[in-house]
Amino acid sequence: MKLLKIAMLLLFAAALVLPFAFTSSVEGQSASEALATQMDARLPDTDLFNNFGTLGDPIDECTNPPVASRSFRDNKAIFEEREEVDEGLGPTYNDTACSSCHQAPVTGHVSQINEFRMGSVVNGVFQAPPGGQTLIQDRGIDAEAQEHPNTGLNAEEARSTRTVLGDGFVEAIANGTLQINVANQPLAQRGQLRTVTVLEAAPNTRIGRFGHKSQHASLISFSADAYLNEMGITSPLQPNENNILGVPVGAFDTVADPEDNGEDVEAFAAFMRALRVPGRGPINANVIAGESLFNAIGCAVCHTPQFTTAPAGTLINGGAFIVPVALGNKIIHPFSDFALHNIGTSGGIGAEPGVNDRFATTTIALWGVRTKHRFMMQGNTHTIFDTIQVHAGQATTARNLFNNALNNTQKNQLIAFVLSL
Amino acid sequence: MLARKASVTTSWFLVVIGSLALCGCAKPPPQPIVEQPPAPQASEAGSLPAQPTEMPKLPPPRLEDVQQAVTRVFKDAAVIDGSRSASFLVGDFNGDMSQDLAVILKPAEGKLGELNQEFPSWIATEPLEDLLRSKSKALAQPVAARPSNSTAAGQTIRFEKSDVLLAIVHGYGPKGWHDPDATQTHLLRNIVGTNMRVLPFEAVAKAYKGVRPFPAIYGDLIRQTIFGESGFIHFTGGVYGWYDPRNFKSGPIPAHSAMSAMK
Repeated sequence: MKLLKIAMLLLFAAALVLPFAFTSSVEGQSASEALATQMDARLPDTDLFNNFGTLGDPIDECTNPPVASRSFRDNKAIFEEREEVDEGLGPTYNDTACSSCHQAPVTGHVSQINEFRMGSVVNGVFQAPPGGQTLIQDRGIDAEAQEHPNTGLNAEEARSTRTVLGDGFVEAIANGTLQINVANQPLAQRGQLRTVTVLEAAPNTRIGRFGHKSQHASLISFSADAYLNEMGITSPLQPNENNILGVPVGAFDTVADPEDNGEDVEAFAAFMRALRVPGRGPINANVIAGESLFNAIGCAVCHTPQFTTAPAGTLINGGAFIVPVALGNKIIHPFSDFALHNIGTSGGIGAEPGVNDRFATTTIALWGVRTKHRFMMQGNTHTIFDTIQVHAGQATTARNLFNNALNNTQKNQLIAFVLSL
Repeated sequence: MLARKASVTTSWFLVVIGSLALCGCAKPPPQPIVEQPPAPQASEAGSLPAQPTEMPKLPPPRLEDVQQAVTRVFKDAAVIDGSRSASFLVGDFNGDMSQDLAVILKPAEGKLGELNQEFPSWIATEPLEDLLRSKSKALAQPVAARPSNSTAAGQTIRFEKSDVLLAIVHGYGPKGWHDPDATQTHLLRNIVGTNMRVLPFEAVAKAYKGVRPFPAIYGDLIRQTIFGESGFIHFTGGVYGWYDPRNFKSGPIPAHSAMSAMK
């Protein structure tokens, strides 16, 4: 009988413990706002860090040199690091560091720098330059490596630097979320989402969201592409050097490919994933009124005000990345649908697989726009008013409503709202 | 005694059964949620129509249609300059395969205030501003300066009643500048010269063969002579610019510089 009692007691204890042993904590049941940076270079790194990974110790090249993917501060240092020729820079390139373009006011945001693309249009049909690359690199490591596009190319396009702040959250938006958003757009304004290969999980595909043509879906893919095209550094995902308008670069290239073993690409992506979203400027009554007008006249159709990222634990990027707690189930306000639209402002540089309109470009995210004074894809307008006026094509209705349906007070309010982002 | 034992045993039994039931309600070990791949039908539904490669044929422009387009954009702030033998041209100046209208205007009598409103429905520019400034010594009157201390969020150019204006109304869709939604307009000041005519995009290479440096061309050009210089008005991707071989300084690739897209 005593044994029975002891057995019963043990069974009871086990029964009490069992439910707790198999119950995991339920995280992120309700979405929360993503952490935002004040975009102030005077503030410490903690204002940029969104808690993905570890912050790490301050980097000192002498005593604590950066180690890829060790911490946010390590990855930031690598993102800011200037590459040298013996590290694979070039032979053709645009600049020497990620932060050369993504720098102001804080590392990861924007700059005045545009990249430059060319091609030719014959009987209305776009043709890429010799060698097949529309990007014309501005620099070379040798005078003879400089690209000189004087070969009858008659189409050109500048592409302004886009922010990478908050891009980790953008990466964490599920395909279905983007597709539902576009499906709800009025037909005349509906954008085109691109399905692109995730380079690190090929042949798996995903909805593209990075670049002026939404040509990448993951930050690893985007980083590898930018490392090659902006700095001329090859990596396992982009192992082949660019050419010089069709001429091979072998004569100038002394570093064996891949020039990066993949660590730098991983570090760039990890840095971007750990960045906060751009924070808002002061919000007053005019800004609040302007936001309503922005929505009412249809700007918000393409400049989508809000997305919620996939829950933590979601396997994305074709299985190559699990959304971490820091990025999962977060509300973000990018003011972009990450879809392509023709609004009549691109230079028509095409050659993008799957895009049937060479003038279509990805809606520029307006978060952080108050730090800029060159707007649109080509950076060729300088006031919000002129920027609204150059919107055409699919944005014609919204522009006409701005001009005809709003009074001057309301127009100023809408502009005040945009400049609060 | 036996009854008491049975009761205790039953109680223990119920507690165990209850606990096991709780186990059944417990959350199972977390399984990774796998993102759904892109739904192909959604991408197709959102596909943009292909850009037309030919401009739809439209009848020759009539003065009353031009007048209608001017009124649509400017209301009564500007009128067609009737002193010219030819005051309008049509072509695809921005290269979007939709016919555009270029029309010479002058400020309407007593309506300068409307032309100078803070938020007009046009983009006002002065492509020859720099050239005019350099030539201003030779002009009877100095070039009007832009208000440098303006805090206006909108238009900052101040028009004067003696201004000669060139309005370029961009077409919208197959109806071109006739479409009621064709209101995107660039208003160019001090750019109208003599012998204005359209130089089709396809003829540019032939007309300017071997001329370097040369700007990128988006669409048809308006060729003319002004201040003794022969050149053309062309779309730069954002605004309209002026090109003449003698004064064009920036090469075709001002890239990666601070003002790379600016001509």
